[in-house]
Amino acid sequence: MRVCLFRYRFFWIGLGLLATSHLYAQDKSMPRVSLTCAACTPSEALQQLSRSSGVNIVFSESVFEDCPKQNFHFDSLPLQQAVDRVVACFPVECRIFGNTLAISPRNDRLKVSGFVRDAETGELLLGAGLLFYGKNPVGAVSNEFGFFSAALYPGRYTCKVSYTGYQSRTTEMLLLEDRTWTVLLEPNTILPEVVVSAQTAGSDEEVVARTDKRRELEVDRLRTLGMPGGESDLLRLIAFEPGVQTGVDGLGGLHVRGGNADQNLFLLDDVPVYNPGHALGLFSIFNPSTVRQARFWKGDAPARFGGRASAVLDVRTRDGNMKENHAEATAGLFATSLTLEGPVVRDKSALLVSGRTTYFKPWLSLLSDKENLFTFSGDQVVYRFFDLNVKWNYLISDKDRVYVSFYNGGDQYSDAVQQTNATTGGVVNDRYGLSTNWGNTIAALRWNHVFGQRMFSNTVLRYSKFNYRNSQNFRSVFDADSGDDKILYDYGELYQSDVRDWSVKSDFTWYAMNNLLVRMGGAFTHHEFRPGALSVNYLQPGRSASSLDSFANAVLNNERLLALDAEAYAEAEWQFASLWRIEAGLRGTAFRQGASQYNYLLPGARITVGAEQGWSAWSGYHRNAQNLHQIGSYNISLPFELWVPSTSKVKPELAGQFTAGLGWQNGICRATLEAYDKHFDRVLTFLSTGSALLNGGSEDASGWEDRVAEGTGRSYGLEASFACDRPNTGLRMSYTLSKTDRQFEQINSGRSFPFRYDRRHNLSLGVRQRITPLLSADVSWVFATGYPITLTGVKFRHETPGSAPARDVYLYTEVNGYRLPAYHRLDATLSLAIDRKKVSHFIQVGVYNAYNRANPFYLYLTPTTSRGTNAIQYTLLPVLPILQYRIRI
Amino acid sequence: MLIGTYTKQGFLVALSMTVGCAREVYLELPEEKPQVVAVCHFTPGSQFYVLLTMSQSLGSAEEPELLVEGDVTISKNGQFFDRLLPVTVNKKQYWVGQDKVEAGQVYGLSVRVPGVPNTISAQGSAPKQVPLAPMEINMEKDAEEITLNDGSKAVRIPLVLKPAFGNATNRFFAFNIRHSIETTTGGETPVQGEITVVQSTFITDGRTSSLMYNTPEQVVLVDEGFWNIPDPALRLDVIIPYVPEREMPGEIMVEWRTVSEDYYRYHLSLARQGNNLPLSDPDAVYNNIINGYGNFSGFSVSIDTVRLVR
Repeated sequence: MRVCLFRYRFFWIGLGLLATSHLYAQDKSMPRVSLTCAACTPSEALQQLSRSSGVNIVFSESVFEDCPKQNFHFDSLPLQQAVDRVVACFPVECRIFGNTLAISPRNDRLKVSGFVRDAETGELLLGAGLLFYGKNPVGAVSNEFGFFSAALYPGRYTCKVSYTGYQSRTTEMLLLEDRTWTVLLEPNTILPEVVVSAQTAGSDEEVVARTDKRRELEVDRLRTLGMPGGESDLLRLIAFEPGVQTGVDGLGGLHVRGGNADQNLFLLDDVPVYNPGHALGLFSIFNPSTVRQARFWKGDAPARFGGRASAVLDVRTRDGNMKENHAEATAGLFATSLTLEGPVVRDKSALLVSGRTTYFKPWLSLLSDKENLFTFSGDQVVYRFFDLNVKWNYLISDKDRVYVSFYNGGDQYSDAVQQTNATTGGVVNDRYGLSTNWGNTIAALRWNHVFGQRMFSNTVLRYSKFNYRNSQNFRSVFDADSGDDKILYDYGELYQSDVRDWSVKSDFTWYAMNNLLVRMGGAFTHHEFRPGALSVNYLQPGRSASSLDSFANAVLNNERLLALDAEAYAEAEWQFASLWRIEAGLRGTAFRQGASQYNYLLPGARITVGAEQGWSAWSGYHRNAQNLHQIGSYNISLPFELWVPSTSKVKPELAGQFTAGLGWQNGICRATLEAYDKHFDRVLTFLSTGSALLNGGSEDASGWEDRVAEGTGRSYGLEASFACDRPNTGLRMSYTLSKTDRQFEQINSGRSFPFRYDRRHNLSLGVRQRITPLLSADVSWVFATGYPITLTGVKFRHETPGSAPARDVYLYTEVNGYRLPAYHRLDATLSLAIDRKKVSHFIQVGVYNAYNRANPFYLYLTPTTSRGTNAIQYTLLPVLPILQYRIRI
Repeated sequence: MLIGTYTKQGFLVALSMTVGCAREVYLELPEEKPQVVAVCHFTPGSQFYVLLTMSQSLGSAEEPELLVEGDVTISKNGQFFDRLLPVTVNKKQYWVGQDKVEAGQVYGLSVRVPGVPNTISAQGSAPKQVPLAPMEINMEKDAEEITLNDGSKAVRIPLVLKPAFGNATNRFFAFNIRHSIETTTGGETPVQGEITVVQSTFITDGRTSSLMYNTPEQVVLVDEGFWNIPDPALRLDVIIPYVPEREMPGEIMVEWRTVSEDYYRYHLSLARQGNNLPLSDPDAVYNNIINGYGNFSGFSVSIDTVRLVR
């Protein structure tokens, strides 16, 4: 039975908490009362008690307006007991001032916490917005594990829960005690839906401004955008974001606000992924069938994310259906995938398995036949990539849940060439083989626990591995007519590189108050690097492959580097006034490799102010440090570019970024304008000799520490985005105006030069139109200034009496001093979605690079051709069809 | 080399799996009027040899224009030092001085060419030599007989090149190794006067190999970063092929250059031109010629000879 929390005035200071009804019961001064009242409200009963006892009972009728009418009947009860019975329907506290008993709503807040789930599958919904409408509206947002917590005064509330792609749910709630609540949302089956944002207009929504929806990528859009061959791809979706540059057609990785490709932290279910690309970056490893949520920060990530200087992509995969079995199959022009999911124990445990593989063989043959590939006649080229995602989760209780997730994926490429050439006295048989494979393996064991109703914890054991392996062999035999065969060459090379991490990480989220969220945690990681082992073997004629001559292992770098990385952070999101909010954090890192140790305290803060009519403004500063570096010949994030740690010679990269922006939204449209100024206080690049190309891309990593140049950089710009969602039409636009420079003492004679992915203008436009309830069309157009390249139109002769022979020097005067022609492309798709009770079909047809723009991938100078041509321009992706079929049962 | 061709092709296939098309394009490359190019590496004890040419457009298939008219002078520490005259050396016309270069002096080059309005100038110096520590080769203990791919014999000789830095701060070096082969009568007795001097090949560990660059000067440039280790020394295995029945290795000759920073930066930038390979990141050519192109820089050199005694 709920009792009145009595407080004596003289105990009010200091002893208020002790002044309970129990204490009051020992007071002999209160009268005894009798009451008979049929179908009375508490207000009516209290008025009768006041009259019969002679004690002034002061209260507000509105306190009890939610209480039902009851029959009260008791004889000669102490007044406090009588009051307890009457007000039992609502938590109140009572104070005694002489002959007056004051009753008021209890001032301490009650806690509502729980999870937001998909009603059909039981999957957790991340980032769902909850609004508790009442006398004091309160908002909450489900975190990256679907958990929410809010503190509310007792009373009646109307709670509205909304989530993109789901029907909003409104629930009436009388909150009289702490409550654990699982919210189930029904998927919205009508497409496309107006995006429901927690930041949509209206003052109520300000209370949930804590959700930074700008960080959340529209993964639903992923499945309808036109992408090469119909292969939906998350990294291509990110390329539509302002401030993000890529190489041509995605090759070359993501370059965020002037950062290198290795300065992005890719997290797959909280586990770092070292190589997020397939096919040298044309596709990503994130299988769209498994992606639940993706959030993206451009250098201003919260303190809980760290270790990279430029950006964070946090991808969360689906947990699997807890209620029934489902299968989804997708087939595109390049790849096919199959996803199976279902309950292991209904409503308790689910398993999701998804696999994807490619079939490039017909395309390779087609391109080879058309001589669009650099191939010999007789080439036997094989290429494929694959992904396997497995995720299992088990709901131990309302407060405990465990997950096991596993990913393995990679690329495999091989080529074999055989040639026979007649020569004097016999024939020469050449046999060349190349085999390359690379990929990631990650695994995680996670435990989520809710402490009380205000603390959420996430602890995870993680493993991440990336490896690259390249082997080549070449054997040339002279078959003499005389029968006296002779081995001309017998050569083998093996190159391999890998990085592995084992780590443990714990995060705690404390919902301290409705306007204060505190996160803290730490991680410890053990890194192991093998930055490249290259062995070259020359075989002696007449000897077996296992018998090597004295040149064996002539060039060998088999070093193994270990590093330890400890991190701790604390961050807070505090809405300190109705329209003002600050997000601030501090991250401490200690990185140890060999005898060198680097410690950093990295602050980050952002302050946001809301205004009338949907306007908001913000400004912030974030600092990042990076202890892991990818070094390579081209800085385009190719898989054979090596991951190495900071060492005594190679210091961590450091970057700081100022941002300031304006936002506006009106429930249908939203726009942002953000300026940034990012300084790379220390940025690294690898001084290659260019010999890697002659080694199948595998450059011997020996001496890498002495071949890394340390410099500085700056990137600044203005980014604008605009989006509108109406029931039948969606519009997206983003534009970036930016400039990025680098400066190294060892490059360009020490002068500053444009960064390789410096593009002045970058524009993307996208329109989605629903033509019929089942059919919709997507059109997108992108434009980007051509990226800089080092070219020259001039040469001179170098010759001295001691030099021989004379050499023509291509007079490169400025690194990246020339710009390739602009990149632009139009993609268009038609999508047909048919949803039946048991089966849903999705068919997409379209065209990528619709007007077959020959976007330059690179230029190859050919100064001596008879036509006087300056260069040959290579284009990566011409016009390509888009075709995808997906079935879900 | 055939293997290089195959490997390159193989890699390009990997890189360009979906390269849609390749087409010839005409680029508006930064063209400019031909500029005077001066190339001169000078060394103590020798005169100045300056090659003066005009730069060319990239597509030109002609020999560059040699400049044989003009006024070319050298200053020393700001004072006039020498006037250079056109002289044919090795069938090539150089501008040659008469006075000898001294180490540690700052020399200035001044070139006036008819029809070129601006004076071309540069400054440079030849650093003092940082010699090599004495080399010792114990043939009995260190040398190893090996068999090459074609079945011929070779001797593999470890060699340690260690600069005697002393108080020197210069870390810019280049070297070249040659060896002599002496004809024998079948035993170990050389035939008088029948000695052949050839360029040596050598192998080394990966770090050393990656920090050395070939130059058009017939010397190997050593990256300044190479010396960032305790007790730095170049440890090389020199391979000397010979025919045991009629030849024997005679001497190893190490040409050791201490080069100026201008020399080093220039040749390093040439080494980083990327060989015009796709996706290579060529560096800008280091240029210390004002109003023109090229390089005016010095070096000191010594040649250490070790007799290979059996």
